[in-house]
Amino acid sequence: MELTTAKKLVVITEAAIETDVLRIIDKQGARGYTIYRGIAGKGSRGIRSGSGGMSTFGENVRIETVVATEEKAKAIMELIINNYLANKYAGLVYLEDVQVARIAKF
Amino acid sequence: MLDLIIQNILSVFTMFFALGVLAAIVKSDLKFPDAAGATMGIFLLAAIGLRAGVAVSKVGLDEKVLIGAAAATLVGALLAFISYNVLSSKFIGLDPSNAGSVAGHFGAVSSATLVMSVTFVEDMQIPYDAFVPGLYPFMDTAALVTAIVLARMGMRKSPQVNASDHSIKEILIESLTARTTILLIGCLAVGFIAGVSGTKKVMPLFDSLFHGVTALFMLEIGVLAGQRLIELKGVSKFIIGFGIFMPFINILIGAIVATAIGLCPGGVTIFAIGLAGGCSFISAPIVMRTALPGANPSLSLGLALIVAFPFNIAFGIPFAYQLALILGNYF
Repeated sequence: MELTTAKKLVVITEAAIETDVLRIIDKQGARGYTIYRGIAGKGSRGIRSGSGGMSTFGENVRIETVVATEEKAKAIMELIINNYLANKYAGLVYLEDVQVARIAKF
Repeated sequence: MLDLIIQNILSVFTMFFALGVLAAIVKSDLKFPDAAGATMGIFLLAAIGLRAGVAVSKVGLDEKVLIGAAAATLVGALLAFISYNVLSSKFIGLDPSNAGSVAGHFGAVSSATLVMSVTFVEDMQIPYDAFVPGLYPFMDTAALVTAIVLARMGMRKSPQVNASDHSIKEILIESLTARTTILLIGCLAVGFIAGVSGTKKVMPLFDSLFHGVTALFMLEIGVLAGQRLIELKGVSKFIIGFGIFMPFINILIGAIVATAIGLCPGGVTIFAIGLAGGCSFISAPIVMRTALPGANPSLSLGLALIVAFPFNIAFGIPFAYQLALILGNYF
C-alpha cells in the first residue's frame, strides 16, 4: 500500500460558529470533515463549557479535515482565523502532517 | 403581599433552586447529564404549549389573541430599547455590544420564569387567559432583534472589529425556528386542533409530571447558577443594580400593557412576569454569541441567571400578581 503525505487541519472552537467553519471547509473544496463534540478546555479567554444541555451556549467543537495540499489547508486556516477567531470567538487552528493511503480521496 | 413573598420563597421550587446553588457552592459533584436537562426543557415547554392549546380550544380563538401577539411584540421591542439605552447611558456606560447583549437577555423571555409564573397562577387557582404563554415567541424575537439592531447601530458609530456577518434576516429566521418557538407554538397548535378529546391519551403524562419536572429543572438551573457565581466577580455595582431593578420596570410595563388589552389578572400576571419580567438565560446566550461576538457572554448570562432569575421567582411573581390586581381594580 502506498502512503502519501497530506495535511490535517484541526479547528477547536466554540460550537456557536460550527456551521460557519464547516461552510468555509466545504467552500474551499475539502472532501469531508470529522466533528468531535463535548469538548472542554481552557484558553487565553478561559471560556467555560456547557449550559446544562439546554442550548449550545458554551459548548465547544473540534473539527478535523484532511486535504491534499498545504495551500488548501492554509487557505482554510486563514479564512477561519481572519473571519472568526481574531478578536471574536475563542479557538485555535493548527496543521499536522499525516500519511494517507488513498490520496485521490482528498 | 409579604406573606405571598414568604410563601413564594418557601415554595418547593424556590427551595430546589436554592439547593442547586448550594450544591454548586460547596463543589458537590451534583450535575445533571446534558441530555436530562435538554429533555426536561422539552417536556416543560411541550406541556405548557399543549395545555395552552387545549384551553384555547375550549374558549375559542378570538381577536384578543392577535391583539395579544401585537402587544407582546411591541413590549418586547420596547423593553430591549429601554434596557439598551439605560446600559449605554453615562450611569452604566456599557459599549454597544455588551449593552445590546444584556438588553437582549432582559427583553427576551425566560422559559423557566414562564413555567414558574404558570405554576404560581395555577396553584393559587387564579383563572388566566389561556393563550398568554403562547405569546412567548413574539416578545422573545422582537426583543432579541431590537437589541441586536441597536447594538449594531451603536457599533457603526465607532469602527469595530467585532462585527458579525450574521444578517438580521438570518437571526430572525434562527429565532423563529428555535426549539423553544417550535415547541411552544407547535404544541399549542396541536393542543388547539386536537382539543380535550384528542389529547386525552397524552395529557396524563404532562399533567402528572409537570410539577415534579419543574422542581428538578429548578435544581439544575440552581446548580448552573451556582457554578457561574464567580463570573460576576468584579462587575460594577451599578450593573448588578440594573440586574435587580430592571425586571421590575419590565414587570410594570408588561402589567400596564396587559391590563390595557383586557387580560384578566391571571393573564396580566403571566404576561408581566412570565413574559416581560423574565430574563432569558437559555436561548438568548447562544443567539447573542452568534450575533454580537464582541460582547462578554459571562456578563449577560450572569446577570440574567444569577441576579434577575432569583429575584424574579422570589419577588417578581408576587409583585406582578399584586400589580395585576391593583391595575385590574382601577381599569
